[in-house]
Amino acid sequence: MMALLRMLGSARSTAIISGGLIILLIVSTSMEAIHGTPFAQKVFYQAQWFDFLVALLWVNIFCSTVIRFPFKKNQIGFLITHIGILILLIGALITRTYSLEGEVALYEGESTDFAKQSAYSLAVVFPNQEDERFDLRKGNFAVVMTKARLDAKAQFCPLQNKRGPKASSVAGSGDKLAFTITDILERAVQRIHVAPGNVNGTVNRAARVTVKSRTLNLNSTLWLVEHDPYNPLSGENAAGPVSLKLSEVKTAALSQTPVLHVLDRSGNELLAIDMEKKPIPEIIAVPKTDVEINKLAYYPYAAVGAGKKIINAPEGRTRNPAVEFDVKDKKGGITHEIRFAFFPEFASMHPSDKPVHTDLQFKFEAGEHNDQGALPQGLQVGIHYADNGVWTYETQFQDKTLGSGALASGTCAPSGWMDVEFCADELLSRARVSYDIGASTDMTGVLAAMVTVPSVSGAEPFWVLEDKETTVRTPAGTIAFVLTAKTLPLPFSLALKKFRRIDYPGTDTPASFESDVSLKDAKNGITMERTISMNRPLMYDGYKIFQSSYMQDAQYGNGSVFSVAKNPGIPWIYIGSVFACIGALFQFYGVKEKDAA
Amino acid sequence: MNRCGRVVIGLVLMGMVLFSGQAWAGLNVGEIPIQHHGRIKPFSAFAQETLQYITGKKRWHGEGASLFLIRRLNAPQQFLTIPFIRIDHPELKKILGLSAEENYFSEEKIKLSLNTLSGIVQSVGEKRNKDLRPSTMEQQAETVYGRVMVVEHLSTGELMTVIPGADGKAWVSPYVVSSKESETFKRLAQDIAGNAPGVQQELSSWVNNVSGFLGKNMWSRVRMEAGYYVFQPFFYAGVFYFLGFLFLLFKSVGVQRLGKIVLVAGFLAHAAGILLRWVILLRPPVANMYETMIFMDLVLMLAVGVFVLFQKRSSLLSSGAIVSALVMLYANLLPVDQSLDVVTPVLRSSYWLTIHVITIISSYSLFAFATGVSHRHLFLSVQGKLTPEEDQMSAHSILRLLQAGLIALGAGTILGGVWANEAWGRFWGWDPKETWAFITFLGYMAILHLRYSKKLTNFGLAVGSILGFLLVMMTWYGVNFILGRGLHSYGSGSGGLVWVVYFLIFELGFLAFVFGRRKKI
Repeated sequence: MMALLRMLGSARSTAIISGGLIILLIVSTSMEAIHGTPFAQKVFYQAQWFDFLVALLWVNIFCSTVIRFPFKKNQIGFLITHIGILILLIGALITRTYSLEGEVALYEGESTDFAKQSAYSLAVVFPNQEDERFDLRKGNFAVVMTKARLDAKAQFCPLQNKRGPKASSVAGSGDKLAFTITDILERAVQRIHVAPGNVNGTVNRAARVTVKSRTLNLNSTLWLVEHDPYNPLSGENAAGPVSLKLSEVKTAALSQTPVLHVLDRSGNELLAIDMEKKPIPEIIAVPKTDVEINKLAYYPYAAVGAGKKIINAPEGRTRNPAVEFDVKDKKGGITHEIRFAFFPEFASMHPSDKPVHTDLQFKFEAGEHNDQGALPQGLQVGIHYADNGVWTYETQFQDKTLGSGALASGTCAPSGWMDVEFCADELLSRARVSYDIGASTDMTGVLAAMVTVPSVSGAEPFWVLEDKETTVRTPAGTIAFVLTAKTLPLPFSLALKKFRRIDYPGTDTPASFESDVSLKDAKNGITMERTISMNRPLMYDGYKIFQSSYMQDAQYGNGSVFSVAKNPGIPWIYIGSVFACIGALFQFYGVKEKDAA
Repeated sequence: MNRCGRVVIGLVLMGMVLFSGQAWAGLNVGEIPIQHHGRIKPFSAFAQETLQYITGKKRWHGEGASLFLIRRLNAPQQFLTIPFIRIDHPELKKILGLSAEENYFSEEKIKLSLNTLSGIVQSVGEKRNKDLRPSTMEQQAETVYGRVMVVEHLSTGELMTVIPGADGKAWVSPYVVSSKESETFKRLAQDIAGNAPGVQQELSSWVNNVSGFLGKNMWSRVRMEAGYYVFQPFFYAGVFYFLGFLFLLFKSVGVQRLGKIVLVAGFLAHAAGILLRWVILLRPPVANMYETMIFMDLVLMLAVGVFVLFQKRSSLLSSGAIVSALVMLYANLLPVDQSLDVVTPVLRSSYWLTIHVITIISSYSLFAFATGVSHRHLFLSVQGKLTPEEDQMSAHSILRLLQAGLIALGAGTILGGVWANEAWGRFWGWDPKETWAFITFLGYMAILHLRYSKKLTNFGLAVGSILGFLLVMMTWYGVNFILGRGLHSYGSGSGGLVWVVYFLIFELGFLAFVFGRRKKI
C-alpha cells in the first residue's frame, strides 16, 4: 500500500503527468487554432479520458502529500498549498458533474421559467400536441400511443411555449410504437447528388467543376445544374471570389435589343416593337384589334422622379429599361401603361382601372446582352452548352474576357486571372438531381438524427433535422419528430422589461448593454426588479443570470439573451485557491530557503 | 543622491519645456477636438492614427499628420489621387495588378481592382464564418480594403466630425452637414492651407468655442492627449533604458551613476506616459496588447527598483534595464495597435480588469526580469567571471523572482477565473489563453519542484527560467497573434511572427552558446 502511494506520489510520476499534460495541451491548443474551438472542446477538454488525466493529477498530488506524513514544521506551506490545490480540483470535479447551464432569450415583455440547454433531445409530438422527450443517443425507444394523445382536438399548447419537459411516463392504455435512432450527425448538411440520366430522359445540363487556386487557398468542387426543382439558382455557384454560371449558347440569334411584345389572350404575338430602331412612330396600330399604341417612350435607365413620373437618369445609375405608353381604343378610352424589363411584376402590382385592352398582354424584354446592371464581382466563369452538345467556357474579369475555349469532361483550363484554374470533372446533358443528408466538411450544418419506425410500412429510415418537424404517419395516427433543445426548469420566472444598448457616440461600437428584468419566485413569494448588465449578473438561489447577448429585430423589437448558470463547485474552487496562494506565500517566504548546491 | 535627484528633476523639466515648446511653435492645428472611434480626441491624435493606419508612417513626405490632412480639406477628393495607401504583400500586389516595386498606391489605382479586393475580403468573411483561418495574404487584403474605405471617407470629408453634437449625440462633419459652423470650419481649413493672415485668431476662436462646449475636464483631457503624442513618453523611456544599460556596463563609478540617473529619468517618463493614458482614457491602460506591454515594463522597472533598494542587488540593474529596453522595442516592432481606444462592454468593469490583468502582468514582468538575470548569470558563468558567492546570490535572486512570479501568475489566473465566473458564469473553460497560462504555470512549477528536490543546479535554474519565459511569450503574445483564437481577443491581431521567431532563435542560440562554452570549461 505504502509502496503504491510512494510510486503514485513520486517526483517521477509528477514529472510524467505534468510533462504529458504540457505536451497534450500544446497539441490541443494547436488543434484548436486549426480546427476551431468546438473541435478542441469535443476531442480534448470534454472527453472522458481528459477527466481521467486530471483525476490522475489529483491522485499524484494527494499521494505526494500523504507520503510526507508526519509533517515537519517547515512543511506547513507545502501542506497548505497542496491541500488547496486538491480542494480546487475537487471543485472542478463538482463543476463537471453538477453545474447547470442554460440560455434564455426573451424579447421585451416576455417571460419564462425555463432555460434552453446546449444539448438536444428528440421529442415525439402527438396529435394533441403533447410530447415525450428522449436523450439523443443511438438505440431503441418506444412511445405509448394513448387515446388522449391521439386526440387532435385536445390541443393544450404548442411545443414552443411549453413550460419545460412534460414527459408523461404514465403509459396508460394504448399501443406501443417503437422507433430507433440509427445515426446522429452533429453538423449535417444537404448534399446534392447529380447522376447521369438515361438516354431518353429529360434534357438537363449539369457540370461538376473544381476551382483551384494556391494563392487563394481554394480547392472546391461544386455542381452547376440547369434545372433543379429545389433550387431556382442551381445554374450559379461561387467559390470564394470566383463565381460560376451555367448558361445556354443559343444557336439562333436572339434579339439583342429591347423589344415590346404585344400578345393576344392566348399568347400569340400580334406585334413586336424594337425600341432601338428609331424613330418610333407616334401612333402604332395593333393588328387584329381596334386599339393603337400612343406616345411610346423608352427609358434605358428608368428611375421614378418627382411626381412619380418615369424619367431617364443614365448618370451613374444601373440599367433599368422601361417603356411607357398609352393604349387608345376607337371610342377614345385611354389606359396609361408602364413596363419594366427587370420587374415584370410591376404591372400586376399597379393595375390600371378599366383598361381598354382586356384582351391584350404587353411584355417588355430588355434584350439578350443586358445583365441586371449589378457590377460583376471577382472572376466570372461561364460554362456554356449548345443544342449540338458542345460545351465551351469563357472567363471574364471586370467585363474583360480573359479566356475561352472548348470544354470536355476531365479537362482543366486556366482562368487567366491569378493562378485560378478550373476543371470540368463531369459534364452531363441529362442530369438527375437528388439530395441527401450527410456530414458537413466544414463548420456549417445542423444537428440531425436518423430515425426508423419499423411498424410503418416500408420502414425507410429518415432524417430529423434540428428545429424542424418531421411527420410520420403510423397506423395509429400521425406523429412528429423534432430535435429540440433540452430545457432546464428554473425555480423562478424571469421577465424582460426593457433592453438598452448604448453605443459610443458617433459609432456603432457598443459601450454597454443592460436589461431591466423582474424575477418572480411564486413559491417563496419573492419578486425582484433588477438591472442586469455586462459583468453585473443577477444572483438568485444559487443561479446566476448574465447578459450574454442581445437581439434587435424589426418585427419583435429588442430582446436579451441571458446565460443562466448554477455552479456548486465555485465555493470549493475559491477556498482551494485561497489556500493554495497562502500556502505558497508561506512556503516561499515564511521559511528560510536552504539553497541547493 | 541629493545631487542626483536635482539633476534628474532638472532633466525632466528641461524635457517638458522642450516638448511643450514644440507643441506651441506655430499653428497648433492638432488641438482641434474631433470625434473619432467613439471618443473626443485632439485632431493630432486622429490625424496620426489615420495616417498611420493608411501609410504605416507618422509623417508623410516630411509633413506632419495634422497639417497633411487639414491642408487637403478644401478639395478632399484629392485624397483619392495621393499614392499613400500601403500594400506590402508582394502576392497581393500581383493579384491586384499593381507594380511590385512600389509600396504605396492611390485609391484610384486600387479601385481598378476593387472587385478583386472585395472578392477576397468576401471570401475571408466566408472563411471566418466557417471557423477557418484566413491566410496572411487574405488578412493583408482585409487591411488594404479597410485603408481604401478610410481614404474614401476622407475624400468625402465625412471623417471630419469636428462639429459637436449636443446631449451626447454624434458629432457631424462640416463637409456633410451645412450650417453656419460648417462654413466657419471650411473657411478655417482653407485659411490654414493657404496660411492666410489672421488664421491664428480664427483657429483659437474655433478651439475656444468647442472647448467651451466640452467643459473643463474633457478639454483638459483632449489637451493632454495632444501633449501625449508630442511628448512620446514611451519612445524616450525606451531610449533612456537602453542608454542606462550601456552606461552601467562601464567600470567607472561616475558613468555608472550617470546610467542610474538616466534610468530614473526613463522610469519617470514611462510612469508619466502610463498616467497620461490612464487619465485620458479614464480607465487603467491595460486593455490591449500594447498597453499590457508598456504596463508590464513599468512593473518590471518597479521590481528592479525594489531589488536594488531593498535587497542591495544593484548588479541586477543592468539586466533589468536591457530587458525593459527590449520590451519597449518590441512594443514598437510588433504589429500591435498603439492608439488610445474605447473598450468593449465586458472590459468596462475596471475593477476586475485592473485586478486580473495587473496581477498577470506583474507575473510576466517578474518572469521577464528573471530571464534577464538568468542571461547575465549564464553569460558570466561560462566566462568564468562568476565568483561562487556571486553565483549563489544571483541564483537566489532568480529563485525569488520565479517564486513571486509563480504566485502572481497563479493568483492572476484564478482572479481571471473569478472574473470569468462573474462575466460568463464559468470559472474555467480551457480557452487557449487559459490553457497556455496553465501550461506556463506547470512549466515554472516543474522548475521550482526540481529545485526543491535538489535536482536543479544554479546553472539549471537559470536555463529553466529562460525556457520558462518562452512559454510566457507564447501565452502572452502567441495565443492572440499566432494561434489567433479564444476569448482573450482584446489584444488581438495577427502577424509579428517574424519578431517572435527572431527572439526564439536568439534564445536558442544563446543557450547553445552557453552549453557549448560550459562543456569546454
